[in-house]
Amino acid sequence: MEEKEYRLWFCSLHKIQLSKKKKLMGYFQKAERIFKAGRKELAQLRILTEEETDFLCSMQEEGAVMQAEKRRKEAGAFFCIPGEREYPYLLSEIADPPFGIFYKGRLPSTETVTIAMVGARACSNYGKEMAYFFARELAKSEVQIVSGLARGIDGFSHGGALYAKGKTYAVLGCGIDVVYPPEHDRMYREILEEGGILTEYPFGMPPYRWNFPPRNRVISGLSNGVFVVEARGKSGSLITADFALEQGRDVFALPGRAGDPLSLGTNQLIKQGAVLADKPEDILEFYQISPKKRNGKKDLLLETQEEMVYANLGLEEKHFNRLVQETGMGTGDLMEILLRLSEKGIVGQTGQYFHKILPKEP
Amino acid sequence: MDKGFWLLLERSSMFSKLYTIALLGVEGCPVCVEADVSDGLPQITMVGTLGAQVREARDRVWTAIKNLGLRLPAKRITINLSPADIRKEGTAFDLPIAAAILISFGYLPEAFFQGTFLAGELSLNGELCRTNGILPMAFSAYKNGIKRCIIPKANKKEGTMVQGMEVMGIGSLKELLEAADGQGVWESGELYEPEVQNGVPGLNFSEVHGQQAAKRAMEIAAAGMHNVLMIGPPGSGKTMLAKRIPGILPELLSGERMEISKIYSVAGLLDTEEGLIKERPFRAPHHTITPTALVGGGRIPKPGEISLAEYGVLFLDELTEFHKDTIEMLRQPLEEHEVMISRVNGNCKYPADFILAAAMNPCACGYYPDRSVCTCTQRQIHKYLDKLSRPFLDRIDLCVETEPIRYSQLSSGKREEDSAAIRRRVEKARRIQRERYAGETFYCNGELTPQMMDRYICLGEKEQNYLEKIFRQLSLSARAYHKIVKTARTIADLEGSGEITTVHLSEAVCYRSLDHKFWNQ
Repeated sequence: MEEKEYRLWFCSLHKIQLSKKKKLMGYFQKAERIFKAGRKELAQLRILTEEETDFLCSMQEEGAVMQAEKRRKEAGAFFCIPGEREYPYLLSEIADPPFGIFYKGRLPSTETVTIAMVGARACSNYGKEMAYFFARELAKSEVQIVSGLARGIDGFSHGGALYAKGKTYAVLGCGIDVVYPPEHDRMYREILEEGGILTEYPFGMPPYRWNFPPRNRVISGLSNGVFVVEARGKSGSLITADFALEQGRDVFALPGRAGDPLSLGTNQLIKQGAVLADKPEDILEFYQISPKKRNGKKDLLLETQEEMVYANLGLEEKHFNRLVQETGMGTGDLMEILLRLSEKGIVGQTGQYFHKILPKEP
Repeated sequence: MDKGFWLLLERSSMFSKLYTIALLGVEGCPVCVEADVSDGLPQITMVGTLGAQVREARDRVWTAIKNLGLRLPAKRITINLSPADIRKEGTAFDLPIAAAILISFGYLPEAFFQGTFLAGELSLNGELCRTNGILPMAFSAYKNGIKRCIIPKANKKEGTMVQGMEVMGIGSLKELLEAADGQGVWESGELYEPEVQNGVPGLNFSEVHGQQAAKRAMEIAAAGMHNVLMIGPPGSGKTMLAKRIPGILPELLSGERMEISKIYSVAGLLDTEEGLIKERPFRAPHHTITPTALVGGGRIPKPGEISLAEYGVLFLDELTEFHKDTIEMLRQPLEEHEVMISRVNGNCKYPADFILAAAMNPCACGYYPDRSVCTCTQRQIHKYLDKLSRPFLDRIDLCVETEPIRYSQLSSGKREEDSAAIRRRVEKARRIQRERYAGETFYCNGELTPQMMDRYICLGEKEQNYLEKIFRQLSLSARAYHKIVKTARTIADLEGSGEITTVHLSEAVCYRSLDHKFWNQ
């Protein structure tokens, strides 16, 4: 048997934490040697608890290796290890690259630029619209978008890239056969059409909280640059940005309003020297990609009153009351116009709060 | 030998009979109190499906008569309350039972009580206490042709609220004996003249700054008796708005005042000095309320909060904090506008025609969709909203979100519209509705059933098409469709417009209730 098969077996051991696996690999160098290691040797290392050692010893049989391979085939997933041609080059450059990746679909290619887009799960409408817009524009210029399939910014980044029929990759904090969050089931399948899903966690691993920081290092490791869309003062996205800096990646941040708690993190990044990106071109030009010409400002063909209402809206939600005050129109008339605008797809609604939607031109 | 003894010897009959009223809900039913005195072991036997409170009357009556200084000869006394198949509850039977016994022993002339009903609770020393439910008793007695009543002095005003009723208020059993000697004073019930009120009672909408959409929703709710739900962060004025709804509802008609007063009399909440209730009720029960306290009932049925809110507003603050069962209990009364309480011993019906105003936060922390403050996950938000059931939400026509108040609104000093002005529009809309639904059992748009809607509301072709477009665009449900049309009808009535236009429909769409797409991001 080859090292790859042993590696698959080793990566599939779900009862041993990733950090301990890393230590074991550091000591033995090869998964094959772990497979053949004696109980005494393992105990001497004092890496594993007694229970874990028992588990590892019980798994040291040919059948378990076959089982791991069978499970991989059943899930329709692939597996690759550093040194193989498919293994993302950028990822192999980082200090502690995953010693095995489970993936479905494809892995990011090295031919084009890859940008990771990260941000808050509970995001504002501004963050949502911007994530969608940036991902769409970047994907149009063949930039690969990497994100984490989470709710909020992650989801909208994948969504924008999918809208532009671009390549997008999701790095999971759980097993490749676990869809988390469940409402992203459809997105999970759509991503597979052009891009791919990858993880270093074994099959069936639930999305434990502590799985995510190591996952973030893979997100930044896969990318040339990390773009933080929205982050609170203490946010997982900032961990990703820290990893990016350690790994020598570029960090981009979307500026927010001063004092807005959701932009505290991103503004802080800019202060510390991150590249301010308030339009997709800022990122594209950084990598000398000539942006595809956007078909200028599309004339929305609005009537005078519609124009007036539209001008009063922003990406931030605005309550109906404020629109009544600002436009001075009657409730019925105003609502009629808002309904017309939302029919055109340029105004969105959350309860009685309204906001602009950036025009969805292809 | 005292007077009673000789009278007893002279009398051929030792049987007496007089009337009182038993209450079932807020409706009264004449009950005949019969007393018979015969030879046998000295005791009082009472029959006629009596509740515990009525059975206790025996001891109260016996002692009260003894303390009056009268000595009852050792005879067997039988009391019957007929019709015997109606369950009798309450303490108002003390006085008629005492009177019936006194007649049987000859202390009182039976003729004096011809066409009169008696009601009142006795205390041991013979005094009469204030008794609940006198007003509905007098009301239904009069309807049944009993035009005189003898009631406790403390409740005299309630008796005189019924026009044409001759009322004698007495303070004790002694006064009853004196009255039979011709010393009593009969007062007659006056025709109640509605006093013209200047301006709006209580709280005024001019004190509410901003919240145009919410205020407008309150106006529509008041005009068409629509139920309304307010969603908004803490401190955005939801309670403030709800408290001001009674002030913009039209002045109560005298029939309505009588209805409300009857319920309050049964519940023992009628202020007997004030006369009939003048203002529309505003009831705001705390969210720990039990289902029984909300809809009424109990072993001895009593009206609940929903009946006490008759013709007024029932305000449920923190709707999601109410026990789910409690909220679900509201479904039937909201549809039928009355509540039927069935017990082994019979049914009683309480009216429940009210506007339901409810308030809640948009999520557990209260600040969604302001993501700079709210950190609730989508799941938590859904879970929070799922506390309300679809069938309950289907009964709410208007849903409005209040926004957090900004300082500029408070300090602007802009004059806000007065409640009196809003009330004038509401009254106009009510008039239009009353004309339209003349001859129907309901009188407001809010009570329209889908079948009735087809008869009373027709949309023009342009409006039909417009509504169809909205229907698809917002993927509405059939229920939502009906609610929008109903609300649009009220908006048109407020404007005095016979036809529903697209503008009215649009505004109604703005207040559409929580639907599945409500919180999607």
